Amino acid sequence: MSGKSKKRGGLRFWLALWAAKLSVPALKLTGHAATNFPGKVAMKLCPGFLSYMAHPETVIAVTGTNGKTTVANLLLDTLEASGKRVCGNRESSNMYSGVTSALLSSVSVFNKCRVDAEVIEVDEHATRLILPDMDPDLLIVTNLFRDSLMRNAHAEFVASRLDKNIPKGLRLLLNADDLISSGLAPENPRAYFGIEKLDTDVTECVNRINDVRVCPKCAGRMEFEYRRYHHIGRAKCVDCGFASPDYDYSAKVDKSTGTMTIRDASGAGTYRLLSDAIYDMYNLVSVVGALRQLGMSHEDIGAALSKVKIAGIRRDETTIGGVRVINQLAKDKNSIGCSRVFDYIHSQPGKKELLLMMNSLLDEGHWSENVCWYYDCDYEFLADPSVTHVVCAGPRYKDMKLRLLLAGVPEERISLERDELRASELLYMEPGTDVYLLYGTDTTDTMLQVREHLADLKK
Amino acid sequence: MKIELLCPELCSLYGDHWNAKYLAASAGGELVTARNEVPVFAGEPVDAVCLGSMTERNQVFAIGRLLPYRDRIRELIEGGTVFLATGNAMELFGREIRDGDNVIPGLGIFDYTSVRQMDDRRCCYFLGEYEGLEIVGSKSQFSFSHGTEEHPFISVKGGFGSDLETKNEGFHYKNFFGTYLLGPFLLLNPHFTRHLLTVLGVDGPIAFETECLAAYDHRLKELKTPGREFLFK
Repeated sequence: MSGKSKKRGGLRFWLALWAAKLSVPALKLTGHAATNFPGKVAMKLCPGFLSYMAHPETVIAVTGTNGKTTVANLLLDTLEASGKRVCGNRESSNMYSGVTSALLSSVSVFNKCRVDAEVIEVDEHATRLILPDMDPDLLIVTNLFRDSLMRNAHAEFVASRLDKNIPKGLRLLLNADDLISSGLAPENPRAYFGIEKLDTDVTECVNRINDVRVCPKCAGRMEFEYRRYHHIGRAKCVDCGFASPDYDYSAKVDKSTGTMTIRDASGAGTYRLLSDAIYDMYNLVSVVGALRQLGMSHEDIGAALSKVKIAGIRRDETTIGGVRVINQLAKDKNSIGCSRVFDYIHSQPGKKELLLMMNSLLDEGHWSENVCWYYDCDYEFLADPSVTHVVCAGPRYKDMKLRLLLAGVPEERISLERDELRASELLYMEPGTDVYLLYGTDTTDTMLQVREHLADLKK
Repeated sequence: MKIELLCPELCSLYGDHWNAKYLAASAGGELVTARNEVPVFAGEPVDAVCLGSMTERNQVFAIGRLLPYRDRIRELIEGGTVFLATGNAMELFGREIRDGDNVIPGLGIFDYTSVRQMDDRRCCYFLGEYEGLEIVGSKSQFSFSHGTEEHPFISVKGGFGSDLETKNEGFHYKNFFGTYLLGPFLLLNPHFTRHLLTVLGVDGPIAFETECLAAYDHRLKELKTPGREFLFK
């Protein structure tokens, strides 16, 4: 057996490994997607399965509220582009069963590890079982924000769970500009990444959510040297001195050249920005920081990164009938994720028209989905005159209209239609006005259908 | 008319702050907040006070800030000022919050006690009734309050109450309304908002009444679907 595993597997493990591996072709033959089921089989037959599996020398885990999928995928792509054999949970969930399913292909039937690196995205709550079983070399925490209320309550709660779940001694790569996640597991070895002052920074919060309004240590007043959005930025408590940590990987952005220079103790490298969105800049600096932690040179990282791009399903664009149509993931139930997207859209030049489909679609029929997050989300960005039309679709369309009106969006700019396909027909689709199709994690397929429908209408 | 949003720097979870904004907008009143740590109600009359959900750490800070004004709060409540405490804000007004061996003294305005269990959060969607008005919403509780039965706010039809045994939700005394229901409670419940306006002596429609009622009716219909489940774990 090559690779490292925490425990030596017994009969249960071998049965689980073979059964789970066999289930993959069986599912394919019967026309089912092999997403989480093989992992569930493995877990059922052998609890703690991942601790018996062989893992490569390099194992990176990524968690946090926003950006973990992008960061994990970028790391996989970059390592692959630099010649490494990699495995990760791109196609399956970020829970134990999904991670297990994904990593099955990284070992042979004799539990021989066949890859050089594993990069896994881990749900914050799933860290409890996955981190001790996999024993990663590095844990990246992208940030901690409010997320789905029903799953995560509030950011402080998630931070307290992570504090309990992070194994002692695990090396951390943390966001110094996030005063919530930067304080995680204070006894663990760590490095911090961050982005130096930008000309777009502010000091006062313009967002609805600001989870560091007062000092988390003494409830004193926090003074921000600069602030990006929400509580992200550099701050200090005027009463007790509690402050943001210094950067180990410090990024300086040059928007005029579309590049970012990242400095650390042993050098600097200049990298092409993956997009002009601030959250993608954070994703990039965390990826570079992680690869530097693995010992890669700036030159090698830059060469590999130049070959990758952000996965298209989260943001992609096409032209339909002479109109630029952008599909953009705006995670439902996640007010920060949507606020970032709204902010980005409102800051783009030209006129825009939006179709909102963030409805927690899969909750319909079972739950009258909680809409608290609409009221934490900065719909106010959509009141900008450059946003000429907003179409609300899906089961929560009436709640969405009310929220838009409260945000100051004039009623004549709002259209309503429950059915997403019919709603897409309400879009004006005028050349010169960009159309954004905003969809949640539950509505990816719906978005693809809508885009196809729009294309059919223009044929 | 003045509507005070109390401790917004501490009590800012789940969009609860919209209750004060919406009440002020519907009443044609002024939304006021403290410029420093001294509540507005301490120095001038206000017509209503709204307080929303907060983190457990901020509950301790909020109690610390409000404790010097306990007598004033009691005086306002006895005098009929409207208080709306949503989410775990209700717990501040009780005798104490117990978290294992840790006992956090509350403001002691009322006699109920809250018990916190951070490892056992309970969530539900909610359907209930207050004076013939159907109340909808959702709850997410790390803690439950005991001793609220004498002055219940809402009778439970779907979901759970102030604790898992009772069929009553929240606490209602004079014009103090405390409920574990989260978020934009008044926006989700336009009929209750209209009731509050009547209490405040305001006649007329609430803000965006048509849209608010349309969303409410849609949600109510969903919650009344036969076989509907309410508990969410």
